[in-house]
Amino acid sequence: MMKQTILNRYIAPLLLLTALVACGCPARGNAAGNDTTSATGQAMHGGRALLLDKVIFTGNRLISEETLRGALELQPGDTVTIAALARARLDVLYSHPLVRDVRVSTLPGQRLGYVTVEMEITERSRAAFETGFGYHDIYGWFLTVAGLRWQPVKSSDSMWRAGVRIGFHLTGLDADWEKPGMLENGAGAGARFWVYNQEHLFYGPSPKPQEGGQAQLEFRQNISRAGLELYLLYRQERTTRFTFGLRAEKIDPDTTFKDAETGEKYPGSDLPPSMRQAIRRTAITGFQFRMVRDTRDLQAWPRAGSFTSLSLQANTELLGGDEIFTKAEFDTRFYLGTGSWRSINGRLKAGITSSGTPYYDKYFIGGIYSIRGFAELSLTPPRGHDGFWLAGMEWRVPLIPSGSKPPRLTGLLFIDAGQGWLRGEPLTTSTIRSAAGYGFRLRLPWLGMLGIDVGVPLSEGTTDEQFRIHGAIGFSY
Amino acid sequence: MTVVGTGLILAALPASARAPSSERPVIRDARIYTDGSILFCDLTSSGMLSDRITGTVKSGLPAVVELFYHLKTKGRGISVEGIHSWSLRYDVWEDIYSVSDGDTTVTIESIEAMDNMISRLKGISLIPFSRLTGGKRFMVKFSIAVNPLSGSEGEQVEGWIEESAGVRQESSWREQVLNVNDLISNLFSKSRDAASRSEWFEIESAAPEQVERIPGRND
Repeated sequence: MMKQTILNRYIAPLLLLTALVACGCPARGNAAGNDTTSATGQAMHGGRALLLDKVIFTGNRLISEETLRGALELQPGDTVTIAALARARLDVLYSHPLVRDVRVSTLPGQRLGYVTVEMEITERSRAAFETGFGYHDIYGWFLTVAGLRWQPVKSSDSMWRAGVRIGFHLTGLDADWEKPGMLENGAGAGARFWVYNQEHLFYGPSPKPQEGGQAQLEFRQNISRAGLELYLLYRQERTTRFTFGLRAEKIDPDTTFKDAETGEKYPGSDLPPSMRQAIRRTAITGFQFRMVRDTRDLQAWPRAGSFTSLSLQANTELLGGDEIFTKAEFDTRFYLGTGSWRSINGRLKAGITSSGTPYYDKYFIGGIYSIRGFAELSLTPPRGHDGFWLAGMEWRVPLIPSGSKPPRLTGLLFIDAGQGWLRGEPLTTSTIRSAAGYGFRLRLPWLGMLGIDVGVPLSEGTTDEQFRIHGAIGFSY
Repeated sequence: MTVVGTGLILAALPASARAPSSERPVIRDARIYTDGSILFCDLTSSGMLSDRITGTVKSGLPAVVELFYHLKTKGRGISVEGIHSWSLRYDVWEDIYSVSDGDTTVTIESIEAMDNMISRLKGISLIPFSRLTGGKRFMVKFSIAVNPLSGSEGEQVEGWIEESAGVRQESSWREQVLNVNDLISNLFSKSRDAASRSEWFEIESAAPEQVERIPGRND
């Protein structure tokens, strides 16, 4: 009890404060460039620097030279160093989804001391066949059985993508379209469509009290969801993206649910009382605004920069929906590299919904990308939370370095905390949940970063476990 | 299924067909010897300075020669892998070429002399000769690469980015996307590293006592 009080009073607010301070963390760094260029340094000759004459591109058949040139910050007359060329190579590599590889070399320029840079481009095909796997915060692991992506060539071209997904608790199809399909500044439009059959998990007492007593059991209920989003978008500085549009979704829950362990089916009338009223076939229509600012140096292994997103939803009956409710979510993460692939990272995420929010749009916390050390969604009562916050800090250290690449094996120490609440109930520190632990991430060719986290609860949970082992794709944040 | 498989391969092949041009050096000869304390090698190669490398050096930016070696004894014994590297530079104002191994820098008058020097690398230390005791036969193999601007290590971060470009993340889910085209084209084409490196040149198995002894030869 004392342990929980100390944690709730001191550690959780500290995490919150740290994450808040992190909102204003530094802009995009040059993590890749630093390691690869420092040893060779500048091409200085008795104090005189080499200057850029021009850049020429070869090997680009689909992508225009204008597009590639537009990605470069390096301009004629600029000082040419190994670091500047490494940065320029990354700029071109990121500039277009069809750029698969860039090789850089130089030639003497027109005048003494001037350099011509040659960039040899290797392109991808426009049609990309995809496969893969993923993790949904609520519906767990899934496999992307087959996916197809049609990639843009010109900045005005569209990008579309479709995929069939199968998972433990999720099966379905989704597709999205965006124009322009590239990371260009300016305005555009997009659409997203999905049809899923999902298995919703919740914890509650047994419908047969004489058998289960007061123990919290895991139950599953099938839900069909189909939805469509249409939006306008605006991109700025390649790092910031705003979208505003319409969203419509139809949710059709099964009339029965089952015990996850025994598989025994129960009628809807046996649902916990708090859920019985909330679960029904419903249609949601409304407006959605989202802002994302991403200044991370590398998405898969960030060591500098930050990620922040803000999402607002206003749902109304005016567009044919059954519900009137609003929803706001905020997520921010910061990354502070401390050298040689070591980093200290933090996160703050929070969300709140208004009254009238349908059951399946409520919040459920606990698990690998929420509060580690607790079973997935286990920290939320059956009826769902109306609001939540999560905060965490993580220290990442290379265990098996891999030269200038990210480490082959990374170790991490973490502390997570969070809290969910129900409208109308007093918000007290006694409901804050926290956990600490350690984890590993293995970098595998083509499969990316996979690993496990072992979390030890520092406060009471629903399932009374001493520790919890989670599988993870990438880092938790 | 066969049709789908063939379609995937055909879709991927254009990407591999557009792979960067390959200008690989060739190791012509290698000789190992010892002064009694260190195992050395001399290496003769050709095709070291391609047009791309020559252009880079003449522009005033460096190129890097990397020699990769792998020595192992027969059965359960030692296995040593290592890299030696040399930086090739040109001072465009002073019109002086130089080759540096990090410790010592040798200045040269022309690019032809530079080519000649790096095509005949001499006195490269491999391992302390005492590690080869016990009479176990051993083999050594070499591969050499010349890259503009920085060594093969320098491009690995970017190579890793390509490899991992398929991470897709939304607020409530994340997905590792595997690009089947890239996977197939990688199977049908050499990696960037392999494309710039020579084939391995292997010295046949020899016993330590058979190694040529040249007293005082380590320059």
